[in-house]
Amino acid sequence: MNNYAIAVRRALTCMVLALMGLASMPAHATKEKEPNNSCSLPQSAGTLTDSTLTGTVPSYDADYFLIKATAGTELEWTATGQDNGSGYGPLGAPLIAVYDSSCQLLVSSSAYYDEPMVKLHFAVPSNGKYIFEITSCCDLSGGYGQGDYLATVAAYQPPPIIYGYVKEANGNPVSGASVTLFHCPSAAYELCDDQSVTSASVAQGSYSIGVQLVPGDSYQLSVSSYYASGFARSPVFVAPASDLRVDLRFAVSPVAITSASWTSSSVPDGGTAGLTATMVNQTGASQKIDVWLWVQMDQTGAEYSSTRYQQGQTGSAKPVTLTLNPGETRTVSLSFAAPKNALSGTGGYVSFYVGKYAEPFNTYAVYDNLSYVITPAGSASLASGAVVEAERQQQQERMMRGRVQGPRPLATPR
Amino acid sequence: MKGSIRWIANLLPLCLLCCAGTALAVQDLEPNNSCSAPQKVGAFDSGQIVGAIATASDVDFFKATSANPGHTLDVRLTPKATDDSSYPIYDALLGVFDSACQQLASVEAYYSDAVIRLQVPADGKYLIAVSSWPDYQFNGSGYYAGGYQVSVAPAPGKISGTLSNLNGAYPGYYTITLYKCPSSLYEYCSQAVMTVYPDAYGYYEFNGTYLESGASYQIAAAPYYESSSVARSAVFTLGTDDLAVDLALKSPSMSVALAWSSSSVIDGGVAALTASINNSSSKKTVDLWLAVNASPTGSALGISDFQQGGAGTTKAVPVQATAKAGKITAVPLSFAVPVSALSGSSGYVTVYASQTGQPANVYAVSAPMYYEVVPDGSVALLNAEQSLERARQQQRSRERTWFQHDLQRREAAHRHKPNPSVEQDGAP
Repeated sequence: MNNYAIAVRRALTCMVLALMGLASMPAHATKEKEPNNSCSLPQSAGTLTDSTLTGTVPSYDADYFLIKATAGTELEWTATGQDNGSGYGPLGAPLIAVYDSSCQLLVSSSAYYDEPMVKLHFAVPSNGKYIFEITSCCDLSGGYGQGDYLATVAAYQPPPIIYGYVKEANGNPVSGASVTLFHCPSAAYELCDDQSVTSASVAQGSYSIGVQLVPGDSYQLSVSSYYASGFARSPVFVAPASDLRVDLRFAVSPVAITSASWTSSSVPDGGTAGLTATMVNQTGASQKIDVWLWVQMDQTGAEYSSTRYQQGQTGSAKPVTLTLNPGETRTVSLSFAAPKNALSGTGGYVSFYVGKYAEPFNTYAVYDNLSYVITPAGSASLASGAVVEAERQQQQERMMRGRVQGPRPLATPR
Repeated sequence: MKGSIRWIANLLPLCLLCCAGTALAVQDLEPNNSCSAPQKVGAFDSGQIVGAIATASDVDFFKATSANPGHTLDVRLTPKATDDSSYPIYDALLGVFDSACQQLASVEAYYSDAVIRLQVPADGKYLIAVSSWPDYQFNGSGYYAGGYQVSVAPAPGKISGTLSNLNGAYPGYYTITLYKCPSSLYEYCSQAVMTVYPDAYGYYEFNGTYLESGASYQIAAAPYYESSSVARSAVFTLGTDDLAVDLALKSPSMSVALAWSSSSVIDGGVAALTASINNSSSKKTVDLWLAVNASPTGSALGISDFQQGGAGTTKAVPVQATAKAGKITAVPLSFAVPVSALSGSSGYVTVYASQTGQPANVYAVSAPMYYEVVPDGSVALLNAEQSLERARQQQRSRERTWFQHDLQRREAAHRHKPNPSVEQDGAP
């Protein structure tokens, strides 16, 4: 080979290497240029299909980019906080969104408060134009957080789909249920609860989950429903490389509580409040069961103001034991001693538990809509039903909103 | 005749006083479906409107014609059953417009009241609109019907204060929660309205449309990962002036800590624990019991809550112990783990120490200690540090679920708003 041929070969090799290098890097790197903080006045970024954007969002700022791409192409945007020397540091919890060219929101996605990365995917609209927005969690009009970002767009690689049918024990499709995907510590576990990955609603008896899973890690599906009785969990499975069908069927609880109530609407100061619960044996075999009350009390006025304790046989914590014949329905009475001279506003709720108490994990049913409150008159007002449940849910939501809206101080307490 | 005139003259100021003290109560009267043809409600610096969105396509507009310009008012929508509707409206939307029908603000009543803080425009005129989500343009494109009440009142003052007696603890370790009371007659209030964190100096503040002028409140401080309060204010009623409400932490007379005696137990074994009672007051006889939570269990219900006292699965009766003054008393307790529980079953154990025979009169509660059935069938018992980390993970998981839910709703709301463009200019 002569020198000329060697030189040509070297040049070709260099070109190939350079092209390979280019192939592994985004083709374009675009820097944001203000003003670009309105969907109606976005920064024009040209044609981007395998590219990066860098920039900075101070508090309440949002950056918008008008981008061209082939109509119908499925693209994925990934945004991370990355220091680019502006002085703000990396952006925490980026929020990204895609609009069509008339500023109609197509999709958005946000990182949680201390998560640095977020992704979304979408199909490019038919006119080949879309607007990409980046800001900070949690307001599309401009979030409170601030910092530098790096956003990357690339062709979307769809993850395998986990799908299947959810049926009640009698084979009827379940509606109004929610399927949750849990991550498992390892494939050796039978129950996984350490981390909820995502959830999906069950529509007309079927569900579908498309989420990027960690290859080799194990997962489990669980179903919860207000309408179907019993429970359903899938076997533990390894993250699939292709679409995976996992059907779920509710199992029936051996004993169910069909109703429960107080026997009066109020009791005098320090009186004993009676409760009854009706339970049914849903199997063809006799069921020896234990029944107990779990008392939750808040704002007691004591040094530690909340308490939880068990009540069973009158004046004792010991559960009531009984045997239900196959298919039998029976009403069981228990009681709860309202505290004497309790401060008004002291209250809580009482739950009926049914299970094999000697096997304490084997609980069959709980009924917990029975609340009480000490009124200014000194008597205990007793309530039951969905109203109480709704109040508790609302209160929990308010608390969560409070916690979400009020981020913790930065210092770590000891 | 003169007597009659004098009688009327005497009655008139009384009458005026009565009228001034009585809030206006306006009934929704159809047709009032557009901003250009609203129901007129008079001055409306304060008062109430009671009405119903009859069908999902109904919208109600009310026009205040002579309010005090520049005054700050809170317009609050509360979903509730009324004479016109036997059920409260779900997911209502409240809007406020100026007299030129320009929308000034809109808020959704989702699991709470919707409140808009309004500065009355210079012409003294404003409009209140009621519809349902996602009708942000108030043109009848809502999804729900039902009853509601709208209240207009002068904006309340803010509540602020300082958390003291911290004994060296970092203030951010505590949460400060504002509770609303059914009435000022109550000694304890339980409807949580808002939770905030004090700053590095212990200062906290409640200031927002979640406050109601004329409502009764109570404030309590609690450690971040506990629901039980360690300081509570007296019940107070908020007016239009700012209020200062300080809290001082109380040092409990007793504390109790729980520790496993080993790091694991075999399948079906007995997990031994020691409860250490630290009593800084006089000698007391106390009841001790373990509250055991299990979730998931793999059983029909998937969760369980039960009590353990002495050793053995069926002995739920509390253990009695004497806590000597100024000393730490160690009390052995145990929790029998079930045979052949599914791996992954887990939960936590908490010890309660109360006055003997008075389970509501609790002196102290320990931090939860976690356990988990592992694949070889044995039960791993997590130490205090690992248990705290597990509790934090679970709290974070609950907050994350709420966060995702909230985000989906924000996105849906944004989709229905007329213009998603940004007005702020925070560009560097």
